[in-house]
Amino acid sequence: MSCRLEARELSVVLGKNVIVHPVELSLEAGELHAIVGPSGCGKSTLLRALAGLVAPASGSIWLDGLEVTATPTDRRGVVMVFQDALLFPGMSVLDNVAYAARSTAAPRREVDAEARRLLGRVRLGGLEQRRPDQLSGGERQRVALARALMAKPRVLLLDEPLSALDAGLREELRALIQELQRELQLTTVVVTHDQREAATLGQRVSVMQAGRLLQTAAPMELYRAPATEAVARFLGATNFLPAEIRGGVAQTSLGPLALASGSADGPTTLCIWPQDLEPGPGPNAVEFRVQAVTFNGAEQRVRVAASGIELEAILPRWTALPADRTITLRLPSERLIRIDA
Amino acid sequence: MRLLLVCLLALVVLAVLAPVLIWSVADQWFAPALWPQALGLRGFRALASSGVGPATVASVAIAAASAGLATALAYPAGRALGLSDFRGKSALRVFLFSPVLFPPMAAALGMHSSFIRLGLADTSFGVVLAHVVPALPYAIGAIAAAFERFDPRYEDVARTLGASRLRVLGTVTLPLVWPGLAVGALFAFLVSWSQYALTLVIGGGVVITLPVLLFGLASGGDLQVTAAACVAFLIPVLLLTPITARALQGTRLGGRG
Repeated sequence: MSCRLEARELSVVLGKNVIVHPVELSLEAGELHAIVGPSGCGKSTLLRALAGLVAPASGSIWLDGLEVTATPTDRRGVVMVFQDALLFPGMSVLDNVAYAARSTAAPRREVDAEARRLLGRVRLGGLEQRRPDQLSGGERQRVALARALMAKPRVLLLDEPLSALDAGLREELRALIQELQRELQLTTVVVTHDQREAATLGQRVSVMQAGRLLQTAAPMELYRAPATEAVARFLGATNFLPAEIRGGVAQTSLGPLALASGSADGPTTLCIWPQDLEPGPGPNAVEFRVQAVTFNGAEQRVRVAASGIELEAILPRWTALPADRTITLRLPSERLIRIDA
Repeated sequence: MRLLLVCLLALVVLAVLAPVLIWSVADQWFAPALWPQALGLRGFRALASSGVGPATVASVAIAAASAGLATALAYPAGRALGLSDFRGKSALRVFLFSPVLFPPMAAALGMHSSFIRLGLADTSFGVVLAHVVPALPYAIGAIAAAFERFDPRYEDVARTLGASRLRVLGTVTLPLVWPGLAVGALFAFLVSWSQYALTLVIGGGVVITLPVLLFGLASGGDLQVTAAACVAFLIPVLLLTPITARALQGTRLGGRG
């Protein structure tokens, strides 16, 4: 049932606007891949192109090594679930779920039984005869998921499936999606604007901006080594430090900072996550002035400055800040991210 | 407040209809009496012998055919107008409404010369085609309104679930927009039902619909027969409107959804 998905040089043009610049996307069978980007970056349009709902301007789409670029949507087996569940309003929950199999030769009783089984699978057993407008947002989204699974998708596309839900429900549905995806080994592309959601859901994550895929990597790899400043900024990085590397040491306004071995000479930008700054003296320690402190219960966010450079540090919540408002922070060399682009 | 409005509306309608209703059964009614001296069905009897039966059949058939054709033609236009936003949309809207703005006689004379060449003049089919012209704007308007509230992504969902275009139309689109289609068809039916000039010119006096018959009777000067013809003319409208209203109840166009 699961299927390899590939998009080669795929671009989408609507009117005169290039919505998706030629992108390369490749999913192993059974992979859960997240595409994350700000709204309007073209990620939904990319999904629509994969489903065949919009014709690509160039490039091709392949399923298990067979080209499907010209295959009509209904015969492609690429099933899409939208942010607002879009349950067919005139039909019962059961009929919604059974929709994909209603036109097939399968006997009605078997189709209904399968639809009931799927409804049980998304924990909505007993709601078969409800109308879509009698369901809560979370329930609707789960019906939409069951309806999609009924079609036995070769590839499942989820367009912001969690965005319309409250925090608690979101967590629940996220777990359900992951569970079903793993169990059915479904090749899945999920699109979201939420970096955390992308990292939590995706086995691999692609960052998309202005119609281009900037970087594709496993979540940890993405955060460990963002390829460009744009990717780092989108992921939430704020600490950037211009530097000149000479002999493995970075010359910065904060003074010389030792880098992990193997750094070539040249001008660059260093980036460090606020969580990676450590209090206390040691190698790469710098004395900062404290500008502002906010405590949010889980951690302390501290704005610090030295030599005209402002950084943000996230410190363990019980860290005691000195009364004279100076603090020594280490910038561990293995946590300094070198960004050349 | 609502009840008051309904009562007021009913009063206005009755005030207009009452004289016609009374006249149609007034066998004798001379001024200055406020009420007919003798009531009777002479008017309806005279009407029956003046060919009201075939004329009604012709009217219903022509109006139904015009409504069907106009709705079918209006569907793609209404869909495009309702769903998409494009430059010149309001200009197109005005253009599509031009049959309502232009005097029907001008259009009728133009159509007539073309229809003679096509062999459509003096035929019922020709009359149907002619009626479609003024009916279209109303049908398009009603259908466009339905599509303005329609989320085309329902169709996308159904397509990715493996439904063919035809199945999507039948199981997803039409069930959601049919109230608009029904209203469009009703408008088209009523527009065709009350056509006089177009029928007379294109039908050439061969195709006799109720309005044609009615005008003939009215110029005959017998008020009672004319009133009876008016009543016959009104019946389908009075029947059709509540039926449609009932069918629309609970739908978004019915205002109770």
